[in-house]
Amino acid sequence: MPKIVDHDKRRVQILESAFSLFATSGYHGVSVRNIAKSTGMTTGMLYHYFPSKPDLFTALVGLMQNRQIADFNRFLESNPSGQLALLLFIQQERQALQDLLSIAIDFHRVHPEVDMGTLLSPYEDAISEALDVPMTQARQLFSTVLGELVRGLLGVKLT
Amino acid sequence: MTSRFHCPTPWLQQSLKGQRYLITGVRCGLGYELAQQLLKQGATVLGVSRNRCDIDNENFQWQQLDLSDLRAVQQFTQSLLNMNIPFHGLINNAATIPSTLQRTTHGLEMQWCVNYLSPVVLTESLQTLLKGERVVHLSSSAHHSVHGRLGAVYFDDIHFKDRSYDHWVAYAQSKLALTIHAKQFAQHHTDISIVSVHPGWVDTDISQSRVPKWLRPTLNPYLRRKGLCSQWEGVQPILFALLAPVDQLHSGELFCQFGFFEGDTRPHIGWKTPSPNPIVDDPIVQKTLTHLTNSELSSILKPSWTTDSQY
Repeated sequence: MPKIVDHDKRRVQILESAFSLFATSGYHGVSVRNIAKSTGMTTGMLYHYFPSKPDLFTALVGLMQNRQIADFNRFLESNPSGQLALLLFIQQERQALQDLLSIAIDFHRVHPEVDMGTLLSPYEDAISEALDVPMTQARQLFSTVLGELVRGLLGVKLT
Repeated sequence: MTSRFHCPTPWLQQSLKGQRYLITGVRCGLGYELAQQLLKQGATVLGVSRNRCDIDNENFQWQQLDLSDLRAVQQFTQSLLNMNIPFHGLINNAATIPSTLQRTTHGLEMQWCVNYLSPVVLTESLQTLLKGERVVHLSSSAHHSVHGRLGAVYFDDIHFKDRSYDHWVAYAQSKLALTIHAKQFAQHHTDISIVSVHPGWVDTDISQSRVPKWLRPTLNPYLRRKGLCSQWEGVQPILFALLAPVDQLHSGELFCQFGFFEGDTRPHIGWKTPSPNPIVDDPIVQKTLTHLTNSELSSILKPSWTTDSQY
């Protein structure tokens, strides 16, 4: 059924466009109209794929998470395993990860009512599974990753 | 790496019935946490803050006080002197760190007034009610250095009239001055113990304002490895300064929760003597600061900040 495949492709295209716009101007600084324009469609068409801007954000996070986690698993196949691999992977993907975090922080400023816990927990699960470590250890590892990203992002002096 | 200083448990279980403490900045953070512990041990607490405090305890009394208003601070101390009820401890906890330059109604830079001058007025004015007892100044490792540079008191421009404002530089200046004051006060008063406390890098709104709240639980393990302390851990060195036997105190000196000081290979806990910032022990700086402080207070509190009350 080629039509459905097209729709999926279109969704991904929209999300990729939105990601690069958000990464440059922040979640708040980009309108649905901007996103529609960048993908060459009308706002009405875009609303057909994503009923609201927060829906688009949720889908965007889902897409990026799946990709990052799949990339990490692929990375493990051709690199030393364990915690070192995680750190190397973060170095390699730093920009994209920081962009996503920055968009999420901006999103939460506009929508403080949204529970952001669901955004973070898939990473902990993925680390636990990929490195075959207990969840407590995965949480510690992810905390370090997130800390380094926040530090890079906000320039926060952490000591 | 994750060890923190904790007061001996018996000290935290002993009865403080009949003891009376004055805490500034009691509405939240360390002041709130400290008040709760002292009340739990049966002490009476007079807490002051700019905004209303919701502590509900028959031994707790609250009074509104804005530490940016030196005349109000002086009136407050006068009313306590009139009542003539002694205190077992004064805890100069309140502090502010506005991100943009703010001035008091008298034109003083806000942090200099709230974090330094007001504690000086409280301490100097209330000394007759504190005979034989304790004063705690909440210092900070920032008194030592900020942005990788040694903290300093800029005598030429305390109030940021000609230099550009940086809230951490102003914070360090105010905390350094306060730490010097403790040192000076100890030299002139053998009947009152005074301790500067570095509470650690504490999880309060002052320290964490730039990290979004929703990220903090996940970041917590990482931040703890980097030295972050809970509020409960932050009050431990304050409780130590209030409850330790007097022979365990070094009046005028700095007592630290887990903290990093430049030049040290490991984090530091406990007495930090002498201060890692040599300015604290510099007699010329001490003298200049005393002179400046008295002249600022005299001009605002005139005529009541007399030579008698000058230190």
